[in-house]
Amino acid sequence: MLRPDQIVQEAFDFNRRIAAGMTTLGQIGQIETGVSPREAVHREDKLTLYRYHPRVADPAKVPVLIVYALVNRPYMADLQEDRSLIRGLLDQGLDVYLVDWGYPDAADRFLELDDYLNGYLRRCVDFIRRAHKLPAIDLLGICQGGTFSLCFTALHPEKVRNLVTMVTPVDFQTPDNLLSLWTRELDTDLMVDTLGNVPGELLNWGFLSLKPFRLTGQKYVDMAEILEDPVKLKNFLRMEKWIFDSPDQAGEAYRQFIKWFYQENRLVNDTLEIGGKKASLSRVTMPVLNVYATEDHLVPPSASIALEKHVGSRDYTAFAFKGGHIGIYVSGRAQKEIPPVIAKWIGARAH
Amino acid sequence: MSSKASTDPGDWTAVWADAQQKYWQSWLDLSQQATATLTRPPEPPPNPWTQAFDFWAKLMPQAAPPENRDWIGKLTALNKGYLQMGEHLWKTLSAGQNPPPDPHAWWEMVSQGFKSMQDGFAAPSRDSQDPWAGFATFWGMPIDNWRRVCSAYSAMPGDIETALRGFMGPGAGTPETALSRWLSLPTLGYTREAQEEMQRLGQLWLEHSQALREYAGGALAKVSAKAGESLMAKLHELTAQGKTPESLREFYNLWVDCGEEAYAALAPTPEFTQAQARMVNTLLAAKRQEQKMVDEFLSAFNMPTRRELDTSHKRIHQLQRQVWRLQEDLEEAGIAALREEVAGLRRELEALRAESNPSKGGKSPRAAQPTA
Repeated sequence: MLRPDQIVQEAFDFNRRIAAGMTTLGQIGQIETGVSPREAVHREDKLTLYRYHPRVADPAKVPVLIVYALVNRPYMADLQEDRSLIRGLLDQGLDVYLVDWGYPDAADRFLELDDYLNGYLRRCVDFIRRAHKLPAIDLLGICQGGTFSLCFTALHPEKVRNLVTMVTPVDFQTPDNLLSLWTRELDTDLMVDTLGNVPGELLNWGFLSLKPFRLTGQKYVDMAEILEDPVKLKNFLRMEKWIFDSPDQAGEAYRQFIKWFYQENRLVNDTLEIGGKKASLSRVTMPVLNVYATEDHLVPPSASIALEKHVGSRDYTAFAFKGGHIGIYVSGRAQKEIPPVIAKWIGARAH
Repeated sequence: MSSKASTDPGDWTAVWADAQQKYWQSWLDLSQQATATLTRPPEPPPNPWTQAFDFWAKLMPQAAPPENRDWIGKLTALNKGYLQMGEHLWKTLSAGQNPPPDPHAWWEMVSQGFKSMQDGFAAPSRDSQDPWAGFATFWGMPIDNWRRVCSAYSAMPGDIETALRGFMGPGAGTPETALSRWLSLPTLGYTREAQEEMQRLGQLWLEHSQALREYAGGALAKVSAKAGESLMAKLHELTAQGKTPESLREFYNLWVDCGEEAYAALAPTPEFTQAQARMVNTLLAAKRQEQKMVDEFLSAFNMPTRRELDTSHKRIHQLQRQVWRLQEDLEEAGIAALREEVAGLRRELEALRAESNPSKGGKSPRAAQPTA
């Protein structure tokens, strides 16, 4: 039974940990992220295309290009040695490329989805196709990058051999999608016309507001418990760095993404056009693996699994990961489950 | 503390830890004494733990190495809410008979104290000029976060929303109306247009303050009340089974679960989503007006304005797109030319093969030669 003297003791212990943790914080040094060796093979404006060093003698002949979201930094997929989706894929024998969109500034505010998909992404895909003398490559899209991959594939199906989507929103208006409900009431035109590029802090506020008690309170109370352990503290700070390392969003692309996807749900309504070309999911006829997280609070499973109803492919596989939107990259179980599932699925279609 | 000591992280944290230990030991002694003698402890000063924490929170960043100050300030502020909860629980449990004889007596004590605890968290601090202070601490950060976002975007010095608080605080209906009327006065004379713009800005900031108040004091306060009810119901359920939370941390975790449940139930409702959208949209409208005024000011000094920069960026972007298209066209044209060349070479090769082997239907080399 909770007693007054016990409360004081707990409060004292809590304060003592914070005090001791200040010393650890003072000595922790730089927080490094992105651990797998790689090289930049193509650059264009703010974009960099990386190729990771293979970790097996004879990697897969067809490379896989990871397309990350615009709203966060892609090093989440390669956070630290024992928490790296990319490292897992390399260990499975895949040849991995990654698109890093960079940090847009005011001069990029008029970039549209057409520029991102039919421009930057298409040129990256063409670069890899040329380098490997291949007609088509494999795509792995993550979160918003998964939506982009679907759109790209619908626009250029001949350039994609297999498509993997991870925690990817497809139906943006399922009833349990809180972000979607909030977004529908926003005056997106006023936002973009006023702010130009939409600041990352604003998006972060929205993400944190999804679970305010846990993400802005409990998490930091939990942190007091690991303040004296430099390894755990560094892992925490690494994740913290990623969460708040939020690029601003190029204004016009943001306007289109919010209006077309969240507010008008064009992808599932089959009314999406990008750069004057129809991006219909029925054109996605190659094999598709859709990986979603059952506890995802940002992209509810309902938003992802809707893909099955709309995609044109007859070879559609869904994989449910028991975890959340972040856990699917960094949890211990994810390291064991996700890369083998993806590699095995691609391997079975490597003909 | 000497300047030398302040640069050594070991020294200042040791001093801080030592001071804390003494402080907490005194409270522990007090609690144990009350428990041992079954007497009520002496009346503590109001909020001694959080006051002490505030004091440290101010001192520590100054003593800490500069690169860590931001982190330390953040950490101390974020953990204050947890200590506040402990403080209220301590007061509640100390005020009754020590130790509580059974879970039901414990429940009686906690349920009586909880209401004042919740009021204390949800209501603005008595000493604070900031109506959201208690609320923000209670919640962790959402409103505080929002205010930081607002301030970061403001083109004006300072935080206009904060400046307007005097007119917008609880029970400030009359000054607010008065300000609104003042902002609606017809303008006169040489500076009439500038006055109108300023009045418009004032009105928009008032609208944002009103929207913020509706969001924090209305939508979020409902979540807070619902979370409180839910916590009481869960504690009641526990005590009915003869159990109580075994630690402050367990109590806090239960509170967080109840808070998230209440929030998850109310956040998708039209009332909440509209209140949140109004808060964002009104802020953006005020910012838009600010930009317009700043642009006019810059224009008067013959300096580049945001509109001009946007125009330039747009034109550069249009040019860049044209260049991309031309490159693609060139690439495509180049490939077409190469294909044509390859086809021509193939034709030539076939002709040569046919000439060299007339038995297979080809013409003789002489006949194949072009005439001059």
